Amino acid sequence: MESVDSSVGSEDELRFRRLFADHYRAVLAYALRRCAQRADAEDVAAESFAVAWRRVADTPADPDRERAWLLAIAARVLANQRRSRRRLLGLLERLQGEPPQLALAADESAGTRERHAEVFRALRRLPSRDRELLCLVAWEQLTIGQVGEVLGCTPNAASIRLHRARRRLASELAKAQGTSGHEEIRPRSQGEAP
Amino acid sequence: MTDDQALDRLAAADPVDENALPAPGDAGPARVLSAIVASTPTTKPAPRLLLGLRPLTAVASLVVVAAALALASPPGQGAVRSLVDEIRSVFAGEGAVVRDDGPVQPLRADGIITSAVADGRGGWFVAGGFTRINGERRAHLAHLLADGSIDPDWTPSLAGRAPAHYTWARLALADGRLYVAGTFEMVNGERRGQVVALDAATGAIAPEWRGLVDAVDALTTVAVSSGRLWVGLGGGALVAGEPVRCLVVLDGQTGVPEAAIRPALEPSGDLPCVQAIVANAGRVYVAGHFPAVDGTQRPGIAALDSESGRLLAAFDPPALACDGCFGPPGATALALSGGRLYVGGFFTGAGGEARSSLLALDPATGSLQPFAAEISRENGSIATVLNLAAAGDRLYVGGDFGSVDGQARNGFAVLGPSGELQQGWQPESTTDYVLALATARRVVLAAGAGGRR
Repeated sequence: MESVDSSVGSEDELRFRRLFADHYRAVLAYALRRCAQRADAEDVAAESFAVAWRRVADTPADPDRERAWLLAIAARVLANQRRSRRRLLGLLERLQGEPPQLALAADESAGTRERHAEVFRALRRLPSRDRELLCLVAWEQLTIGQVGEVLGCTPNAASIRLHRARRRLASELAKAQGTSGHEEIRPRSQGEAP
Repeated sequence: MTDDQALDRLAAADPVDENALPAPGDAGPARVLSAIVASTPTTKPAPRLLLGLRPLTAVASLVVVAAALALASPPGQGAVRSLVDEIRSVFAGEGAVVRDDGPVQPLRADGIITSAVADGRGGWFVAGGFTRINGERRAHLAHLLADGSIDPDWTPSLAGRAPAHYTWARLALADGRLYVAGTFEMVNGERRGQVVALDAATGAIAPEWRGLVDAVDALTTVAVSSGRLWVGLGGGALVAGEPVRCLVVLDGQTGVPEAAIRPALEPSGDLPCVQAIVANAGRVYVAGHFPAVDGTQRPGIAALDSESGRLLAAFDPPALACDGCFGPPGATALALSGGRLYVGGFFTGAGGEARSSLLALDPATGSLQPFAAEISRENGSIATVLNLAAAGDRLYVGGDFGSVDGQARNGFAVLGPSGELQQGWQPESTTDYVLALATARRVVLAAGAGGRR
């Protein structure tokens, strides 16, 4: 946890400053993973905290839920940003499909880059809601309950959706590698040992 | 591969190292925090502030917070003023008219410049999110004379409910009419829909124009073919009260919809459906995000018959690819010249061959041509070509890129017949995104959004 200057400000302000100190990097990372340009990600992080500031009274009492609450805000900010970009600047629409720039970091070996590119390609073939759910688990490292909070569904529903999304990702990766995939869940043939 | 292994591989491909990001106490984040805390009351939401200005996020960093604070806070706060200055600079428009032998006529506006067409007399019509251009007051439309001055007698105006920076248009010129399509609601003080024909000489609304297009999504481009106006839509529109998707074809004289020409395109997801149109010799080429035309797969690029709007099946280009991208590739710009159809956009290849956001096709068959140039952004990530204009043996390329064939080119470059970079053309450019390109003989106007001062 980052230190917070508690010498000034109201209770709300202190709460907000702590939120910012504790979670700014997580929110920025979330946005960077989903924006083509760093400047766009910084926009999303900045607006997310601007919204959080206005809604600071709604901050979850449970600190374990703060991150998911902020990421849920960021998800909506991101969606609004994309809608606005499409509606008002159709001619500038250009980067929704671009990979996060950091995915192409020069210090990665060619083999690593290709492996990662393969994952991105597989991810791209999934429905967008599968992508978001998988990334929240794999990259944001949220628990299933937190994922449900971000996506606006119950933990049970999130769990079921995650199960299916993992299967679809594994299947896509297996296809990319030329294997059948999902041997572990294929229906048993007659006579096969359970 | 098991499901767990798949998830592990995804985790390993995480593109962001959170620990390497700036700490909240560093200059950038601390500035954001200070601006928020110093200038916004901790009362319950004032959603109007953000909702009204959220579009600003489209191109500018820090803009939303800054804009919200600018409205919410009393004047005199230094941090807020400096942030608002950033907004203004980000939304300035810059451009230039460039000739083979110089000189360069600069173009400076207080909003982005989104479209330009040559007037046929050495000057240009320009449109964009500006209220001032080269020091003159103009409401989103201006006529630049051949000597570089703004035509004092040509003063049509556009207006909309959105902030001025977001009232802009795309232009096409034919038969003495300037067609204007964009995000406005009023033209010369009249409510005439979002596509209008002006008398190019006077700027008055063409008296016979009765068109009424009410766009739901962005109007992305306009082109004229055989006396008809083809309008590209980001998504849908109401045309004379009827819902239309992706493309609208209007009578060029009256603006009345051509009932017999209803191209059958469907949007692909929430991406802009049609982004570019170019027409020639009975053919209309369209590019954007659509999976099929007339039920035949033509992902993103297709040729239509200009009389019927039906797919010309013989034109069957290779599908664009975007390796390593989250989303699909996209075609955003078209140009026809020298027996080639040039396609610009956001992609890494087509038909199994590498192409960096620019390629050339045979306009009859759609087969990929050997023309190629290495276009990239400064950090090596995938560039986007937003505009193309062809004249003679030259292809003018505008967009969001930092280099061509390894040489620095900030959003604007000129290529030769094989895609080779023309060395003599390197106008000093501070434009971040070149959105408007127009040519007349060997003169080009390139303009867009500039944020670097």
